[in-house]
Amino acid sequence: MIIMKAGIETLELDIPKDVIEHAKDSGISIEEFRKSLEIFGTLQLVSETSNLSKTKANAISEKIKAISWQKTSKRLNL
Amino acid sequence: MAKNLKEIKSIIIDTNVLFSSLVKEEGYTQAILSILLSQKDIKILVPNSIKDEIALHIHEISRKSGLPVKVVGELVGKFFKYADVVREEYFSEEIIDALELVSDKYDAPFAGLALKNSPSIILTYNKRHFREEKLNERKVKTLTPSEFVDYLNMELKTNKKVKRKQGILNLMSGLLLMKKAGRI
Repeated sequence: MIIMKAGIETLELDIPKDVIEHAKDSGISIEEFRKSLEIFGTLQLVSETSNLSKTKANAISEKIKAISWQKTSKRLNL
Repeated sequence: MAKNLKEIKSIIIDTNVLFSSLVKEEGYTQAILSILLSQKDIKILVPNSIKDEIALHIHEISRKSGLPVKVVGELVGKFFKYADVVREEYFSEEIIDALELVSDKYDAPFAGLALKNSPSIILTYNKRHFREEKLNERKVKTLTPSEFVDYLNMELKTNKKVKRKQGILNLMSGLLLMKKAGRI
């Protein structure tokens, strides 16, 4: 069982045996599989209540990159 | 160019991919990011200044997404726990080189990090910011998340013995199917 937490939301998930077997047969270790599922589940839980649109996401991304560049180029004399 | 994924040890995640994973309709991006972050033999790299700036903008991200600050903070923390954060001092020469390979100077640290760790892939939704042909010559591929899946598929066609790539694709399909079936 995997327990995913995002803020106060918690989700418990039993991974079906056939899915685990299939992952193993495909060369994916159970730890990698659990980790993938845990991250994916958390992102799913969080994004369900997110108001972020792709446009807004892109705008925040551009803003962060621009400020980050200003600081980095100044610090490294680029 | 690296002939196959086995040669590629590093994937540089653009911030637009990272933030897209907070968009409700972006299940595909979420699946790819989840899988990449959990792979033992692939390094996920992010410039250090980007990590710092994201940390300084947690409140703004929270306000724009409507998500509690704590939740955004936890999620960002989780991402950086699994990714390798690299200080720009370590690849400053490559950043200078990269300025010729991007159309937007703000993307130079991503391209520089990719050059330093080539053969590598830059996962981005803004491919037009990167000069693909020039980067290809330096063993750096720029791919959108969906192109990354096509890339894995193409490799499977040329190298059927590679079981692991099929595994990654199966895992991604599995995650999306489990979501569709309401099991997640």
